[in-house]
Amino acid sequence: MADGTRSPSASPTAAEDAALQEALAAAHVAIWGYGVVGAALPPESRDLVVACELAYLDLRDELLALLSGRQVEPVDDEPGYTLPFPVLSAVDAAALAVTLEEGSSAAWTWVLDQATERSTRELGVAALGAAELRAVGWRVRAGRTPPTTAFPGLPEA
Amino acid sequence: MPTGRTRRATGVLRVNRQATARTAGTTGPAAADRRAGAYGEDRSPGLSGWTTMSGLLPAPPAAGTFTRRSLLVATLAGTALVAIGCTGSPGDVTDAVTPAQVDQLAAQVRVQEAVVTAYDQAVSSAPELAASLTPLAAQALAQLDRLRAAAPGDPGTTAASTSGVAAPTDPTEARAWLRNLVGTAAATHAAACPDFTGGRAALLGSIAAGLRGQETVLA
Repeated sequence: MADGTRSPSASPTAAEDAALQEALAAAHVAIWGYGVVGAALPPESRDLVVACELAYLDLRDELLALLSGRQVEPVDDEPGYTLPFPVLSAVDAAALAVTLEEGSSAAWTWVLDQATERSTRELGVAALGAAELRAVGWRVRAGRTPPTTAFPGLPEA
Repeated sequence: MPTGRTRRATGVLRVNRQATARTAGTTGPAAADRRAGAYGEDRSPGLSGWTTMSGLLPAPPAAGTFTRRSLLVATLAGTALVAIGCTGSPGDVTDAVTPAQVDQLAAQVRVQEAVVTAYDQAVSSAPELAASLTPLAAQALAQLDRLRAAAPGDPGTTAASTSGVAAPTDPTEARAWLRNLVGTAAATHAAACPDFTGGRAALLGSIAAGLRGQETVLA
């Protein structure tokens, strides 16, 4: 790491930091992805999209501060990402939002698995719960039943 | 934070503009690296979140990483769990649980048993709810199974209690009663989650989130 940033291998929270980096990467993706979601939805649905995006902007800012405070260089966002499927309708948009939230949930369950700091686990459980609540709303819009999952962020079996 | 607010105000438009250029991200060396790196130790952390999410890509790294022992502790039943039990493996503090944590895990199992029982009671009291509640009840039962598997030495046969209050017979009231109980259980699991580490923390957090989702659906 340049500029005196800490080497991950030298940190007692290296695994936790790596997991937080993945959560940050997922937040970057979600911020980008909700732009795609918003573009495919009618204007009356934009408030919901903006609310979701704002949640990820807040999360991103919190993660940036947390990692920077540990002298860890946070991962940056990318100029573009690969869409998992074409987003051509409102249902596609809702499905993409579900994908974004489930990706975030996977990242945060990994944070919970790797975290050594209690405060990080507190952050993780809150972020995971919020992601699943958003996911439920989007699954309803995507017509999925049931809209809930037993184990958000974890493999089903 | 001024910078954040600025981005928020223009966030959707900004991303819309990016969306029009998203094909740039689907081809070329960067995209190839992204796909190839999804399973490698040297994968770009900035992209792994998306590879986790992409339905077109092979099994996500998160699924692979969760096969680690720490998660197996939380997901696999039987002797492997009993073997680590309260003592844990030497040097493996992530998998170890203290006697107090054993008690707490047992308490979380009881909480989840009460959720499963509550679903049964709600359906019994208001059969017209069966169609909508059955999938949720199945999820609650699956959660209970995994939680029991993660609780060292849990007998898994304790009778559950819903505080002795019978489910209302009116469907609307029964739903509200169930929602309250599920929400309370979610909060209890979420509060317990930070007390654990490794796979158990992930499992409790995940179950708490799942129940939060159920609470929303029951509204």
